[in-house]
Amino acid sequence: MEDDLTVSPDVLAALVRAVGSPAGAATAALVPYFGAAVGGESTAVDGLGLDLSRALLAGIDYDWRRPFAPGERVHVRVTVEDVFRKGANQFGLLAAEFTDAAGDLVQRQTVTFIERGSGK
Amino acid sequence: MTQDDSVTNGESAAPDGSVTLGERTRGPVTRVQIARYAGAVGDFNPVHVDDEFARASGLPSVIAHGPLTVTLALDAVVEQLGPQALRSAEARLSAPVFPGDELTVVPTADGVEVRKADGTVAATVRLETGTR
Repeated sequence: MEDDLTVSPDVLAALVRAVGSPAGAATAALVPYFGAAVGGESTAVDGLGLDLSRALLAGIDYDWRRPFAPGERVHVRVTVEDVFRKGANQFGLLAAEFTDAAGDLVQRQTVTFIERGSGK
Repeated sequence: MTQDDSVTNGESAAPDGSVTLGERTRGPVTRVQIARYAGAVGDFNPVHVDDEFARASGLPSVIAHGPLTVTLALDAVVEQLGPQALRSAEARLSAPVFPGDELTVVPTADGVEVRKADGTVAATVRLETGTR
């Protein structure tokens, strides 16, 4: 999944309200997107083949080059990094890369889902 | 954890000049906060916003988004080091966070962990900091 996004000041403001601390504005500029939700629910469900009702978020990694700037245009590319089974559990890894207008990386996220005891 | 000397908002300095993170609290987490986060990132998975769905999934209530818990942990770090100091984070979620949970963000050897009031660790975050 690929898309072009504008880093909406309204979204950043909503995130600042959700964080609810004096540092919220600075924090929001680091984490305004959740990679697995950028393309809607189908990104995680279809891409990883997980049962959403049993899938849990196990982890999220960030690699930052800089905070996002309000109003800037960014390109996001969401890819399935890996899908594997460990015991009874199914794991799925999504990567989301955000690049700016110059093509430079802003940040990279890796999101790990686990579907427990799926028995597939 | 170390970082450059230019960031001095609230952390304590060790004798060698390195910066030590302090403990911070966040919350109690509220349903409004969870709903605001859902709206901000566009994640309306019903386990976060629909109590009936959450209970049918075996949970006592809705749960906070994992990335919200991580965001609150990062916010406690940003409060002390500033946003430019963060280079990378590896967060692992280990327990659900419910409305009413007060979270304590506690420094560890290589980052922070998020503890609930009963001591349960909700998330562990390894951090890499430094100048860019």
